This record gives sequence, structure tokens and C-alpha cells, in this order.
Amino acid sequence: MMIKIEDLEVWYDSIPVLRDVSLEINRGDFILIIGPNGSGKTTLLKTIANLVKPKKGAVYIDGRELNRYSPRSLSKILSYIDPHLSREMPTTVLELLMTARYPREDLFKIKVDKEFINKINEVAKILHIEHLLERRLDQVSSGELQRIIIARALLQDPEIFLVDEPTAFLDLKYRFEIMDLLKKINREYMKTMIVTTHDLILAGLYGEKIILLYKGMIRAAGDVEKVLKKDLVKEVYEIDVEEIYVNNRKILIPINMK
Amino acid sequence: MAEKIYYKGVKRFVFSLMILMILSITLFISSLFVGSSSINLYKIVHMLSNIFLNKNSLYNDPMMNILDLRISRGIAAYFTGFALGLAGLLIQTVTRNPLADPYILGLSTSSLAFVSLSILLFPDIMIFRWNLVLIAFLGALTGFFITIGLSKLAGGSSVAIVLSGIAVGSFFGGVSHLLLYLVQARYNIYIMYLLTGTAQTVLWRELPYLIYPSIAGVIISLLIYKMLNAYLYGDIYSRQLGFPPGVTRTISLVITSILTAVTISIVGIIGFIGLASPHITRFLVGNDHRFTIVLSPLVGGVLTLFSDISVRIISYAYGAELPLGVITMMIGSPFLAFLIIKRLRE
Repeated sequence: MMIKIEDLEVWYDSIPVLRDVSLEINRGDFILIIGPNGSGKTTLLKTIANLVKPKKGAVYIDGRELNRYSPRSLSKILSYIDPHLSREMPTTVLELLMTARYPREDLFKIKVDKEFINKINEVAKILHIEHLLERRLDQVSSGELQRIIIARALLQDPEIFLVDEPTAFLDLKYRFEIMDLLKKINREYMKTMIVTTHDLILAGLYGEKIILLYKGMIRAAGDVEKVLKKDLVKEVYEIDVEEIYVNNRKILIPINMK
Repeated sequence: MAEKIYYKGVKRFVFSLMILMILSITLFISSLFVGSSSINLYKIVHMLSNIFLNKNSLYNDPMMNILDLRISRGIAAYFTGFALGLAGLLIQTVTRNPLADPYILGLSTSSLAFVSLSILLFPDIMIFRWNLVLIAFLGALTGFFITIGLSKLAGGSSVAIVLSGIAVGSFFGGVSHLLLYLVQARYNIYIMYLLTGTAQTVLWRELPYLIYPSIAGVIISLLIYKMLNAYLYGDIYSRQLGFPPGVTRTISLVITSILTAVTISIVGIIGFIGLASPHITRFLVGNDHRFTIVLSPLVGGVLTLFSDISVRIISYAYGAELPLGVITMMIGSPFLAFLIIKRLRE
């Protein structure tokens, strides 16, 4: 599944959010999108997921424009993994997880596959949420919720994962765990992974291809050495950073305001 | 682990379904005995067998007429609750608000206001019931959109929706009251009962208006149960699973409004059944629509039939005919109070 983005321009009402975005993403890529608040990270993911319509330009998957896919066939190919689920209505974690297979199931099918339930067990074990399955979704912590959301995405099993801020509310330990897991899914199953993050340290540790968005445009794209540069980050994030090397990887440590 | 929880859910569903079926039948049979004149068991069995064997020998028996009325009244009460149980479930899902209910959100009174106005202007419409239902349907939709519009201005929280609903509901309630009073004065027909609905006046030939839409509503809702489940977690979530949320919203809203409309145009306003039924159902089996769509109407039916039997007992004891809507309101309001306290505490 190759994603090609051509000359994308997205507006919210009368405000431009993305401009001149062109990209090519290959199958099995692990892409990190970084950038300050309001730089268009989430909008880019949502546009790839066809949740936001571009004003200009287009997104192609395997050479076919997004609009030419039916909503259902698109939901088998990609999943936008939203950190903000509505939890107004009382439901359990298991009830949420059971919706993950809907794109692959017949709409009217009432019975639940045994095989799918086993899969839920398997994924729940990997993400340490087995003890939460019966819990109400509005009674789990934000860290637990994040793991539940990733578990759900794994169960949906798309080709392309569009993961929005997976580490935002997590303890340090789980930040690494989630990033490790996303990388593992990427490597072992050849799933394309596009992840947004605020965390420059994680970007240094896990980045392969990094895209730096700034004011709705791609300010830089490439490997860690190319994107995580001191002056670039200073300019875009308006903070001072220090470069250090750990295990031969460049990491930027935020110091203070510029 | 997951299979244990899942099969526990299925078991609870089957168990609840059986209990509700038994309760429905028991209540219905006992409803035949309750009323101002007593009929004994032997007589009822005798007359029922006559009905089924189609013998007309007893047809002139006044008891037969009484039984006839009680059967239609029981069925009317049950299916009013059935319709409202489903309408309440769907409107709670559509607004993602556990405090929603056709009465609380103002659909019932706006629907009644439309009905009253049309009767006042075209009294003949009482004969063309489907037209009346159609007008009631438009009224319910109008009430819903005014309430939602108002609540958006007020910030869109779940409590804002309830408060807007109360404002809209009270307004249309007043309008209905006025119009029905005028209808009554002008055409000299007794119609004020619609304000606090009653199943007493429902005739056999009116029952299909309650039964068919209710059954159709359950079937259509079951066909979209996956869309409803996905819808619970937000519009974006639903869309990324390939279900356009607007479609789910439209279908559910149409079903809710039709079901509200039929109850309004046949029995009048029965409040709070639509609020209580989904909550009791979720308490029994959780929030999976594959289960709740089947159970919530049954819970509504049982609650309403039980209320109607209570009404008959009280009426019999005090010699005055009480409306059904009064009892459901008395049971339902503390329930709403409890839910609001729980919600605001969180």
C-alpha cells in the first residue's frame, strides 16, 4: 500500500491548515510527524484517513484517489487511531474492542467468531489490559485508555496505521512500551505506521523518517540527522535544545526558552 | 478471559429475555382481572376460548365487552411502553446522552402541539389516523431540532440538552394544553386526556398503529446495530470504521420520532418510560445494541403495563379514572433526579 500525497491544501472554514504538502510513503515505512501545536499534524493524518476533505490536491493509495474508495473498503485499508473517543455513554472495554472487526464483518452478522475472541485475548495480553476488559470505559486511566485504543487498532488490523499522539498522556514507561510496540507491528507485519508526536526525545530515539510540519507546511523531511537539527528545532519550536548522542542516536534535549 | 465475559453477557441476555417474556405474559393475564367490575378466572377462560373458537353465542354478554376492552387496553399499554423503550434507547444513543428521552427532550409535547393544532383546524383528521401520525412525526422532529439547537447555544453538554428540552417541552406543553382546550370547547369532544396519556380509550382497530411501527422499528434497528455500537464512540470513530454517522443518526431519529408520534396520537404523553427502560436494560446486559434493541422495548412494555395495572387499581379503589401518564411520571421523575445527581457528581 503506497500513499502518495500531491500538493495538498486543507482549510478549516477560512483558515488554511495545510499548504503545499506533497509526500510519498512506501509500504512498511515508519514515519514520525513532529511539529508544534497547530502545525497541522492531526489534520494531515485525518486527510489521509479521508476524515477531512482537502480544498486542493489529493491523496492516492496504490494510485487510486481516496474518494474512489468506499468508506467500508477504506476502513479495511487504514485506521485513524483517535486518542479522543467519546465516552459519554457507559460501555465496557470489551464492547469497544468488539467493534474493531466491524469493517471485515458482514453488517448484519449477529454471531461473534470464536477466533476473533481468541484474538482479543491475545492482543489484551500484549497490551496488559486483560484485567480491564470488563471495566467501564469511562473508569480507566488515560494511560490505560491509550493502551486500549492501540489494542483496538491492532484488532482492526489495517494496512496503514495513522496514530495520533499515542504517547501524550502516558507515563515514561508506557511511552517506550507503546513506541516499541508500534515499531514491532511495523517490522513484523510490514504495516505502514504514521505517528504524530510532541515528544522530541522519542522522535530521536525511534525516528526513521521524520516529517517536521510548521505552520501547515513541510519544513523538513528525512532521517533523524537531517530533521532533528539544533537551529531548525530552535526556529520552529522556539526553544533552546542541546544535542546529545545515546547509543549512536542523536537526541535533542529541550533546555529553555529561546 | 474475553470469551468468559462475552458468554456471561450472552447468558445474561437470554436470562433477561426469558424473565421479561414471563413478566409480560403474567402481567397481561393479570391485567384482564383488574378493573371496576370483577371477572373470575373461569369466566375469562370461557370467554377467551370463545374468542379463539369464534363462537358468537356469548357476544351479547356485557362481560364479553368488558373483557374485550381490557384486552385492547392491555395491549395498548404494553406496546406504548414497547415503542417508548426503543425510542428512548435510540435517542440516548443518537445524542450520546444517558439523560435523553422523547419526553425530556421535548419531542412528546411538540408532537402533541402539532396534533392539537391539526385537530383544531381540521377535525376530520381524527378519522385519517395515518395523517395524524405523520403530523405528530413532524412535530416530534421539530421539537428535537429546536432542543438540539438550543442546547448547542448553551454549550452542548448533556445537562444543557436536558435543560433545553425542559424549556422546549414546557412551551409546547402549554401550547398543547391551550389548543386541546379549544378543541374540546369547540367540537365538544373529550380530548384533554392526551396531555397525560391513557390506554383506556384505545380501540382494537387503533392497535395496529402502535404494533406495526414498533415491530418494524426493532427490526430496522437490529439491522444497523453495528452502526449504532460504532456511533457510541464518536462521529470520527464511526466514520473510520466505514459507517457514516449521519446515516446512523438519520435512521435512528426517524424511528424515534415515528414511535413517539404513534404513542402521542393514540394514547397521548407517557413520560419517562423512554428514560428508564434503556437504563434498566443496560444494567441487565451492558450497552451492546445487539442485546439492548431487543430488551429495552420489552422493559418499556413491562413498566408501562405494570403502571397501567396500578392505575386501574387506584382508580377502582377511589372510583375515579386516573390517566396512565400520571403514574409513569411519578415513577420516572425520581429516576431522572437520581441520574442527574449521579451525572453532575462525576
